[in-house]
Amino acid sequence: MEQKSPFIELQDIVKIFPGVRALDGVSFDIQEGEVHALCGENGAGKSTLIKVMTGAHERDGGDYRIDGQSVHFKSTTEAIAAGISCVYQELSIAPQLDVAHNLFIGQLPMKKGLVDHKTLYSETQRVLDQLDMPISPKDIAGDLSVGQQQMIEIGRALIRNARCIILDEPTSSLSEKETETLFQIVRELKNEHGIAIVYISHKLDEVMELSDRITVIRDGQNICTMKTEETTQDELITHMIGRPLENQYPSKEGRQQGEVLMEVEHLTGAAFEDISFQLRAGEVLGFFGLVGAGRSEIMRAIFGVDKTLGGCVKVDGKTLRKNSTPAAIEAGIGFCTEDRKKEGLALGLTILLNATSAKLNQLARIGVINRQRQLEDADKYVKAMRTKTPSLTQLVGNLSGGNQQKVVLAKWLTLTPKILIVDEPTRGIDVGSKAEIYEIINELAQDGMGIIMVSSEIEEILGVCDSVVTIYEGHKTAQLPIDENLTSETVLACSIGKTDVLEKLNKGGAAE
Amino acid sequence: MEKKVKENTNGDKRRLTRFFKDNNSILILVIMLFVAFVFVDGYSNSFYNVIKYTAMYGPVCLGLALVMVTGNIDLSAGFQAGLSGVTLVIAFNAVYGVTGSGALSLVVGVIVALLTGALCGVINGFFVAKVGIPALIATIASNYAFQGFVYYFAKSSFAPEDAAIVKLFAQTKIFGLRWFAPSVIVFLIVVALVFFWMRKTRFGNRLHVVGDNPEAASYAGINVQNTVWVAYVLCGILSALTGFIMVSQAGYAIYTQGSSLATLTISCCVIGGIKMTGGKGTAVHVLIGVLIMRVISQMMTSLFLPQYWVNFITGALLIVVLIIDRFTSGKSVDEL
Amino acid sequence: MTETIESKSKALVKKFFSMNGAAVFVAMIVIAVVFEIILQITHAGSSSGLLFITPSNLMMILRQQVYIGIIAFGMTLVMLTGNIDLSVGYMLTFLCSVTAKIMMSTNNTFLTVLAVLAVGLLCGLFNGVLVSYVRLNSFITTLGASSIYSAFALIVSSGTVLVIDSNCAPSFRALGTSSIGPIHILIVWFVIVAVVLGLLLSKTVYGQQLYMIGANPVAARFSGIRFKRNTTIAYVILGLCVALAAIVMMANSLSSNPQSASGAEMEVILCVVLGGCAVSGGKGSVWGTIIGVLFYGILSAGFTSLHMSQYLQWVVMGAIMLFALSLDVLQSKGVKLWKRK
Repeated sequence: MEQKSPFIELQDIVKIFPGVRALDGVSFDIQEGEVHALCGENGAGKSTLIKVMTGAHERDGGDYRIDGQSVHFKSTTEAIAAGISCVYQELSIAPQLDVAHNLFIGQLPMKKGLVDHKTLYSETQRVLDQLDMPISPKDIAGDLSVGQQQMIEIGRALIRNARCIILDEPTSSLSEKETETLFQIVRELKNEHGIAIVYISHKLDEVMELSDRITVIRDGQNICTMKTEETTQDELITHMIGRPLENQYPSKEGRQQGEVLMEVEHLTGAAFEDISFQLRAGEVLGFFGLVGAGRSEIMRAIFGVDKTLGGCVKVDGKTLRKNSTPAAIEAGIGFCTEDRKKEGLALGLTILLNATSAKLNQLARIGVINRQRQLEDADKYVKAMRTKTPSLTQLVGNLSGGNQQKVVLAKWLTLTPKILIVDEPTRGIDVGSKAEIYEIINELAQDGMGIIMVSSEIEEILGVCDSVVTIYEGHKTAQLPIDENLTSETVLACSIGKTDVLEKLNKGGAAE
Repeated sequence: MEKKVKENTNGDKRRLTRFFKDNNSILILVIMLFVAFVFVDGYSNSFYNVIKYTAMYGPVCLGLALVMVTGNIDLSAGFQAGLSGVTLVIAFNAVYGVTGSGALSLVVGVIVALLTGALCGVINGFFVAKVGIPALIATIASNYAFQGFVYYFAKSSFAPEDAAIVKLFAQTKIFGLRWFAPSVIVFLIVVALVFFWMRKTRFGNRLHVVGDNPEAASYAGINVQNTVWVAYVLCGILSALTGFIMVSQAGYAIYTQGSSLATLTISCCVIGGIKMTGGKGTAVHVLIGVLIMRVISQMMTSLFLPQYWVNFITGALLIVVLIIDRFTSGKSVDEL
Repeated sequence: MTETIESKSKALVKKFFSMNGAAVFVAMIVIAVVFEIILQITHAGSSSGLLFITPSNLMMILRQQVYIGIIAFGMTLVMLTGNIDLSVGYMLTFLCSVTAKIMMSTNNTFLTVLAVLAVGLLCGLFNGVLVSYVRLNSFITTLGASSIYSAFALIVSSGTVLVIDSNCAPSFRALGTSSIGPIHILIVWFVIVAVVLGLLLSKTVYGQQLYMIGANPVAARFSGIRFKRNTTIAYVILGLCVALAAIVMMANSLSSNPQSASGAEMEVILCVVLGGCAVSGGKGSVWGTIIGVLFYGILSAGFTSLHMSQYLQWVVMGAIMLFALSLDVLQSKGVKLWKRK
């Protein structure tokens, strides 16, 4: 099997940016019909390597061979013509065009010099059937779910007769079910069409499940290439961060649960119904559910961003004014949103302003900001979060993902909130930074803050939280205390509304 | 299986509501026509003006629409038309002075006008697409330059020496019909051409993609910069056509209309259903938009209402269309 | 020791160039010098000393730019929020007519000023509510509002040129023609508005929140910033600025022509953008806008001093502004179309 000459071969690839050797002699090869995973922390050089493969960057050294022929792509178009397609992390869907035009973007089928609409729609239907998607070619792409949009991108690669498809963090915004479908398709592509897949993901369990081989990259160099069946997650992590990672999760000891801080009673909104729960001081409460189950919507409603239809939120026994974010902030709630670029930060502004943006009112007298206090406050918390930055006047857009997330945390901590909601705090963050974020959450809880952590990673919930609320289709299905007896299977079963498990839980009195 | 069927009927419903939303300008046009013909005395007698002026302002609106579909804007379209009209007259008189042939002068004049428009488009396109100045600002600045040229040249001569032959294009009455001028035929052909170009050719299809998601377009190997540039050049050429028809209609170059034309063209496009954000709209939408504006304008004329009513209703209609669009767009108002 | 000074000065230079509109500032000085040289050559020997860069000439330039400048400061606030107001041109025409009409009928300075400010506030409120609460596209909304204000201008004035009697209340005339010490009152207005709005932007909660709103409205909302209210207030302040410009303008010139399409909005927006304000919002400052306004003023004054025809001036100014904007864009590389790679 190893004798087969590789389909794509990259040897000692060097890519130099001003001041940085982003790639420093990386070698990587892909066989036909295999899933080859590419792992590494953020900034390890994965994206640069992909960009070299897809022709977005030109290499500064090394050799790139396809079928034994050395190639030099000057544009993505050339790479696509050679059979290499990439599905990017940020989807490139044109939301106002229909599915067919999106699928054939840039290369509509032609007949006598004109666009052949008949072929366009029939071909699209064929591809949709192949991908087992129950949508019409004339649907507008913007109306589809993220998962469906991603399938369109994979469909694009199929239409271009791709021999190698690169998937860059494909599951980061997919639900569990959509991820399953994606995996099925990937296996089909590999087994039945002999397509090579390069799979990039932070989620190591996915990598272990799907891939045939794994290459680890660190600091622009490849550390090793292993067969998946011959390695373990722990070994992978060790290779990725260059040292063994003892335990990602901090010890929960030392947390003391105090009095009830927040009561949510029968909260109802457009995407969820009748949600009730309590949060105590020093407690880390997990919220688990599939993407689209309504977890984030519940948090947005508590925080006054979305309109509620019924129910109420009480902080310290006092009912919060409805639909008012300022009121929620005043009552001591902080909210680290899921999408930091969209909802958390203004990338074009300084760390100083971002970190104090929610607190400006408190830093001012008759509307005039006390610059000294603003600087002190920002400095204190940005430092406490161990944010790596040369100065507070640095633009947030220049920071790495992990450091940006720390600025978001700092922004809320400047308010010294009583309650902190963190929504997917480790999404798209490398392993090293993840552990730091967990540690911060743990410390905050030790100091008596009540924390709600929304996550779609069960391991994370079990590792960090004291108890977990499962949400299924907008309903709370269970609240389970986390101890040695609680398995991830149980949590998952509750989150997909498996009635038999729920009944058993209820009978056993384990729930609540 | 049952779920699949349900999803499909949902999809049909969604497509239907989308169709009505995207084409609500047709409804506005029908209402306006109804009001005009039923409530305004003698409207049918003056309706030919609506058609003639639609053919006159249509091309420049169409050009602007192409730019707007790519997600950009051109505030200088009005003075591009004005400038083309002026260069037409200058070229006409120059050739006429040498040869004395009206036909030849006209041909040369029209070619010069179209080239002028194209050149303006090349300039705008360069600064917006290649350099990357925001379209709004770049075309405000280029508008200054075009305006300066128009006034500078128009100082000396703005009437062609043989006005009769120039007037043929917009004022001939084919079959004796007052509205049926060559300019109307040319405009309809242009609308049809642009419509099919955007639907049936590869390049024409790119405009929507570029306007909708430029990043996706460039990933798909579409040259975004060149596509935008071409849109600007076409806008210039179509503006020149309007410039020609304006000269032909009046018998001399109307050069003071430039600034009001900029507002008028944008209103026509937006009311017709072209989105400011790009990626939406066809040539037919522009046609409807221009018709709506002309129907209203003619209504004002027929009622002998003062100028300010036209201004007021244009502005109010623009805002009303936006509000309707806002509240039918499905997304809840609170959503950001 | 010298090294530290060198690195310090380097840091200073670097800081200067990272400021809004720095490139335009340099361009402005270069152009002023070029005008000076040309004038020296053309007037060779006829006079000694500087011709263009003289205090009195610069004051003159500033005085001509006062109306545009006052509006531009208000526009800076609106553009910081990521919106725009194309209606200021006709709003100015409308408010000038209102000023003239009220002044002609009452001859009461206090009442006139109050009424015009109130009308300006309402105009701003109208735009602001539509843009922020109804959430309409600001470009088209204010384009529509522009038509409406032009209609109002014609209605108020009945389409005729309004002239205030030059024997009107002296307190009214003083608003536009007196001087404080050696400084003309117009320049005082300019400075007052610049200082007030400059401090508002840099020192207050409201100003800093405007930056947040422009840079990322969603994040601003999640930070508990009342973006709708703040955006509306920005429009209201702009409306008040236009009202002030109208009052000062009428006090200075005493006549208003409702038919004139002033085109002031284009000039104002250009000045603001030349000063380094991003059209997409979140970037810009009053300091930058001052530079933008002065740049524009020096250009137009320079060409006038060269006796260039008004029309050719437009052409050359259009070209120079495209050039300056290109430099700014290329320098910051902020706004860019996606390169095919």
